[in-house]
Amino acid sequence: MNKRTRQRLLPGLILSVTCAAIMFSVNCGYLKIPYENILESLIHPNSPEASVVLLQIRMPRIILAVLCGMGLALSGCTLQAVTENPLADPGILGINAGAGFSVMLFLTFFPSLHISSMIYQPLFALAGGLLAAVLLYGFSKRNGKIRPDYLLLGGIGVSAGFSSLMLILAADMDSSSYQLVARWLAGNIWGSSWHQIHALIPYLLILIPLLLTRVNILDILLLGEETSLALGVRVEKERRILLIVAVALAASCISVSGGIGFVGLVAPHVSRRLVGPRHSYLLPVSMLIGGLFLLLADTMGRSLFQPIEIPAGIMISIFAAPYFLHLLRKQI
Amino acid sequence: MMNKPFKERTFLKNTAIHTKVGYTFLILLMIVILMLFALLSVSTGVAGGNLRILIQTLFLQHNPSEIGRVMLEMRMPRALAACFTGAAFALAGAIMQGVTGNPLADAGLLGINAGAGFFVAVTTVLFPSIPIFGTMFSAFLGAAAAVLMVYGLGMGKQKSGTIRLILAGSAVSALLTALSQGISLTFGISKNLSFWTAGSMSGITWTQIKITIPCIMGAALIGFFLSGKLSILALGEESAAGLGINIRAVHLTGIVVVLVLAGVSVSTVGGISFLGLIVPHSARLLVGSDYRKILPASALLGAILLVAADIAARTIHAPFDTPVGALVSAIGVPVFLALTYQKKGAII
Repeated sequence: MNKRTRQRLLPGLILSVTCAAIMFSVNCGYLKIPYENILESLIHPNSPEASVVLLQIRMPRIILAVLCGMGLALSGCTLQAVTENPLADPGILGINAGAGFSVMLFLTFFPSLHISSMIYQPLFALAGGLLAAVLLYGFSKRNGKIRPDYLLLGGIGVSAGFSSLMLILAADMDSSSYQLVARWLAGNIWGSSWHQIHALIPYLLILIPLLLTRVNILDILLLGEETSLALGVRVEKERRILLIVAVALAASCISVSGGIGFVGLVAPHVSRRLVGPRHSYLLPVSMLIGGLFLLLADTMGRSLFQPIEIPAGIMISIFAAPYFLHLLRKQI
Repeated sequence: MMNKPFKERTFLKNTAIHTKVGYTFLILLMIVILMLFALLSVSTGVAGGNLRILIQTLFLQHNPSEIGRVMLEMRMPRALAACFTGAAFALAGAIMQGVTGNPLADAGLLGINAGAGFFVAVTTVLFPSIPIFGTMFSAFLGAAAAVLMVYGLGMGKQKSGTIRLILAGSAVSALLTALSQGISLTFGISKNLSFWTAGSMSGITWTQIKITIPCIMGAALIGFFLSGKLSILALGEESAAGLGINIRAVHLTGIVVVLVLAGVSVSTVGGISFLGLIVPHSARLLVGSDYRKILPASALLGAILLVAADIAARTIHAPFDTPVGALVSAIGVPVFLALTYQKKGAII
């Protein structure tokens, strides 16, 4: 199969695999539901047979996993192009931790805003993610240039700092929120209600098209700073815009899920192998693959050791950290 | 860069602290501070208590009161554990920095904590009734496995930069921590998730302490014997070889000492990062670049820092324990960033 056909066929293929995974995932869990009943309750959501478990617990969680995986993968893909660093990922760069920390602050200090938490939670996450990004930007700039390895080093520091602040803050709360934070750090998809999806979707609907309009700029940025300047791209400005979009994507996903790392690293790399470096193919494919990955990780975590749930972030780390090491070994 | 001597910090070279009297005074001062913190740690807490009750319990121990029993059974082991593991983490960091010439060496950053934690988790699941000594041995093995992984993967073909090692360490940590957390969730090991990442000092018993302390003491002693050689090693490997140092032997002994120190500490209090990074660098600022002075100063400073952090962890949100490793990291991260940020005379 040559590259061109592969580029055309792959999105459809991944989509159908994702659909199959969703069908499989719907039936993974404590309660087994026959497939006829699933169809029945999906077609007539208001009928009394419609399963509460299915519609109120499993479906939202599955959709959330797919959406978060998509957002994180897109964010990672953009970050890799903007920072010219193939190891970039919102988790490794500390953006996830920053966003999580600020969501934590929000939950602790502004309980009165909880009623409208749908609106405010992603905003807070965004502020935290941007703070982490700004810190990192300042740290890794040496002599006016961003040094890729310092970016990662700083990211490790920033992420450790925010995580520890989160743990310190959480001890103030009662034991259940403490467990919540510990699970956040382990990367749990805790949202199992439609509210979170409603909160997330507007952001994705704005940010993903915004990103897709800039595929050409992403392609040009890959050629290096000088070439991009010569081709008429305002590198600094575009970088800043793309960085903000990437942070916003990661942060809005993080505000409804746990701190899940490595999705944004692995999905773009796998897709690059499949469809090559052109962003017009790379972005959609890595988005789909990211969604599929996170869904599979969440499903596995949910069903491997029933009734215990392993957070999706743990599953992802187990599979993806070795891949990161492999990339690290190859890279330099 | 590997094997490059640290830059001498000349501006501190001829201050009073560098004379022998000044150094002795500093060490004595640190011992006094440590004792004070330890007393404070044992005599205060959620259940109440003060110094008088402590003295009564210690010296007139016929019939200790309830608070007295809390002090004896819960706070004393805890304070001792903080003392010794703090010293151990700091020493491990200092020795590792000396042996590998990597100024950012730290048991947490290089994945040693995660490796030890992972093996402890596996051992607890496979052999639930294993004696504590066995757990500690497996922690040692886990630490060794992590070091092998990090150095095996982090050392490139041409250049073996410090940053690469840290990156490899962070990925190995992420993997092994995820595995330990998964194991502890799946098999219901009675440790909360943050134990693996941020340490915890609650529930330390005398039986653990009785094994931890001799192990740490032994390893620390060997470490002190090594200190003179580490100072010579800091001149560069060639010069050290020329001066008659058996470099391989020093490396090997040093690494084993580090693994014992870190492994034992992790199996007792969990993964505490950044302590082994910030303490030796502070010690270097205080006493200069001679490892014969750095090692004792690091041990004492590490002990002081962890005991103080433990007191803070117990008092910040009074009835709850804050994970002590999180507190240490909160101090350690800015230092880490500052150490790597300096423009001139940057250490990497």
